[in-house]
Order: sequence, then structure tokens, then C-alpha cells
Amino acid sequence: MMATLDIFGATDPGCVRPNNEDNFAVDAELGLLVVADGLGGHNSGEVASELATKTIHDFARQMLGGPRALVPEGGDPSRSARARQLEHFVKTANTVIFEKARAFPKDAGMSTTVVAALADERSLTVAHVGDSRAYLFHNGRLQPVTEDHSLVGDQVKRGLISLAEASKSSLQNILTRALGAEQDVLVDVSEHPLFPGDVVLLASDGLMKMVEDDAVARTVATEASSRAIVESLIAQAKAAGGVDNVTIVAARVPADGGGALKGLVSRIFGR
Amino acid sequence: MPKLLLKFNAAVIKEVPFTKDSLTVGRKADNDIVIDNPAISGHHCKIALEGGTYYVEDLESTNGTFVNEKRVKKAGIHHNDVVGLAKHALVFVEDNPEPVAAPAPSAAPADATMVIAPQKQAELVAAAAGTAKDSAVNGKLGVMRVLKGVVADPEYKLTGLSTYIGKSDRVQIPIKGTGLFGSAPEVAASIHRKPEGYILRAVEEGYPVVNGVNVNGQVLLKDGDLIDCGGTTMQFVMQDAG
Repeated sequence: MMATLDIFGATDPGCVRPNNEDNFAVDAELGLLVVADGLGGHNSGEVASELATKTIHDFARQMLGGPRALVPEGGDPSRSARARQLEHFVKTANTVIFEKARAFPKDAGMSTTVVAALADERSLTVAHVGDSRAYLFHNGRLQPVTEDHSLVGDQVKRGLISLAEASKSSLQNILTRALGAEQDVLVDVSEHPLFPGDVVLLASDGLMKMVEDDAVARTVATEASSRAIVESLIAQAKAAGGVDNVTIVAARVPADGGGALKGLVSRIFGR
Repeated sequence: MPKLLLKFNAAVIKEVPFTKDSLTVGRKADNDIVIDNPAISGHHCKIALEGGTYYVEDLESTNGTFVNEKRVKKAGIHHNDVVGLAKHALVFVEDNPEPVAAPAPSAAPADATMVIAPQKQAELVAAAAGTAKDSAVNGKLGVMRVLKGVVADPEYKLTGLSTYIGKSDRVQIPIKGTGLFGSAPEVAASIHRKPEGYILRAVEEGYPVVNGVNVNGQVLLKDGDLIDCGGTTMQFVMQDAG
């Protein structure tokens, strides 16, 4: 009964790096979007980011794919079932990466950022660790829905520096949280309502380093499909130098059609 | 005192401290570390201190002794080296390993991302920031107090980047509707935490009312502002975070 979202994802090594340490996963049936950026400079960044996307996708399929969605034991009961599920998938990926790094010396110290989202056309749940971001485009505005777990992100959050200063800081590459770095990980989860025409955007830092938020907003506003948005943004990141791997996943809520009447009815009856 | 962690697959089974300079490993009972597994030779290998360094020496074992996945006859081992014996592994742990030199933040290559431990963060944040600048959000947390038309909680802390107000079950702050059917927009407004403060944005244009004025677009909230949404009245308050 639900119109599915228009979902598209792509990754590109960029113009400078020889390898691609980013990975992504999309599943239109589950409404799942994942972007992971393996940590460069460490061993096996791409192994970690692949483990993250694969583990989250596998667990989502197992817990959400059947006739009955399962909710994990434990977790914060004040959160919605979907928030707890998504947090569980991300924490499981953390365990998988951490244990693999411990068991195989060649993978020691590997870690990755991750931003994962579960969406249908009414609502969005986002979980993230590290500095890969999620944005929500609604009513002409691009709103960030994640806060980077990085040193400069912390400084911005505390009001010590401005966003503009942050984008020039020499400390940009220092993360305060990453997946697989420690045995347990704190996952930030947030929930947002979605409306017809909204666009959810997940991206690795290869996009934000290269393309200004305003340009991203303009692209999302003008391009007609998720595929066009992703391809245009990757092209812009590469045109600006493409110093890092860039990975983007977009999900677009179908524009209103017949929903107007439903909205009116629900407004009259208060539901 | 250095020690060895005996692992099977990923699980640590046993911790063996170096109570003497030489430890033997094998299947038979007269070894210091006995691994009862058919793939381990009776006397498989020996780990001994020679001139300040620990060496692992294979004792003609059938399946070999490996250091970090490389087969060896005799090799020096250091902190975190893994001695592999069939499906088992011995991880060598020195009690005070030489600190791994963490690159200074400014000296790091522009594209190398790294992770730092929480205790280091506070120092770095302090060092990099100098003195804190005046900021609307700095050290303060926005709170919505529901004065009239309480639906669920009487107070909401605005900890997230985005908080939503409306009639729907998808929002954090539910409101009472108005009129005969108690109607209200599914999502009437959203509040976003920004470096400059908290911004209230009308999701349903003109529906939210701040200090008696209908909001189209967005407004920056000030301490004490009164917000009306449908049948619910709230006050925005800045509190000391902590």
C-alpha cells in the first residue's frame, strides 16, 4: 500500500586517492540507506566500511525483512521501535568490526564512520557515528540532522568556533567516535517526520569538503530524481578537486498525489 | 611483567604471566602452557627471554609456529605480536609498551582521518579553542515547558538537533488540537539547535504563534518566549546545561 521511496546511491574514489575506502548500501524494500567511510591512514579502512554496510544491511534484512519485524532486547524504551532497531544494527556492526580487528593483526585498528537511515514516506530515523552526515531537504531548506563526532564538531556544538571556522580548521580529521575503534560505541539516533517532496541525503565527508551546503541545497531543489541528485553532486565534488572518496545516497519521498485529500481528511478528524 | 594471552579464534581462554624467563608450549602435560589439541605438537614451541628480548622458537612442530601469520623457526616478539599455533594464538603483551607516537594534530597529513580517545579530547578541545566565545547555546540547553494543553510530558529538553511539534505520533512534542474535532497539523513546527541559538520553523506556515505573532518561515527563540500551537501553550526557557 505504501509508495516506495525513490532511492539511489553511488560512490566514487575521487580524483586523488588511488583506492576507495567508502562503502554504501541501499534497500528500497526496507527503506534502508547506509554510508560508511573507512578511516584513511589506518589499516583496512575499506574492510571496516564494507563490514559496517554489510552487517547493517544483513541485520536489517533479518529483523525487518520477514512478516514480523523484530525489536531487539534492551535499549531505551522511550525510543521508537525503529530507532532501537537501527541503533542495534549499528552497534552490532561495531562489535563485528572490533572483533575482526582484534582477531586479525593485519586489520588491527581499523574503523569506519557510518550514517544509516530507515525511512518510509512518513518518517525518517537516522543513526550515526563519526563525521559522515545526513541532511533532510524540506520546503526548500537543507537541514543537517547529524552532528559530526569530530573535534571541530564538538567545538561547534559548544559554541567555541563557528561553522565557517570549523571548515578551515586544521583539526578537521580528528574523530571523537568511530565504529570498530572500541568495544562499545555510543550511537546518536534521531527521528524526523517526512512529507511529500522531501529528500533525505546521506554523504561521506568527500562531499562536504568539496561542495558548499548552499550548492547542495540548490542541486537537491532542481534535480528531479534521486539518481540525478547523486550524480550531479558527485560530479560537483570531482570538479572541485575530489580530494577524497565521495559517496552519496539520496531518498526522495514521492511528490503529493492523492495525498492532499487524505491530508485534508486527517486534518478534519484530527488524525 | 609481560604476559601471554592464549586465544582460540577470537576468544581469550587464558592469561599466562611470565613468572620465569622461559615458557614452553605444547600438547603434553609437562609444558608450562598446555594446549590440548591434536594439531599442537607435544612440545610445540618455547618463548624465552634472551638479552632483553623475548624470542619464540619452534621446536620442530608438525604444524609450525607463526608470528603475525608468518611461519618462523625463531623470531623476536614485541608488544601485541601474535604467535599462531594451529587454531590457537598467543598474544604477547608487554606491561609497559613503548607508547605509540600519536601524530600531532597539526602535523597530520590533510587526508588522514584518525580517532582519539575521550580523555584526550577534552585537552585538545581546550587547547585548540582558547577562550570560549559568547554564544547563545554555549553551556545552555533549551527547554520547552508546556503551560497549557499538556498532552504527554510537562517539559521537553531540546537536546537533539531537531525537535518537532504537532499532532502526529511521529513528533517529539505532541499538542492539543482546536475546534470541534480537535484538529491540528500532523507537524506544526520544528525547532532546530544552531550555533546562534534555537530556531523555530513553521512547518505549517502561519500555524505556530510566538509571543502573539503568527510565524511564517522561521524565528530565533529567546529565553521566555511563549509559543502557541493549537490548544497547547509552551514557554521556551534556556537552562544551564549540566
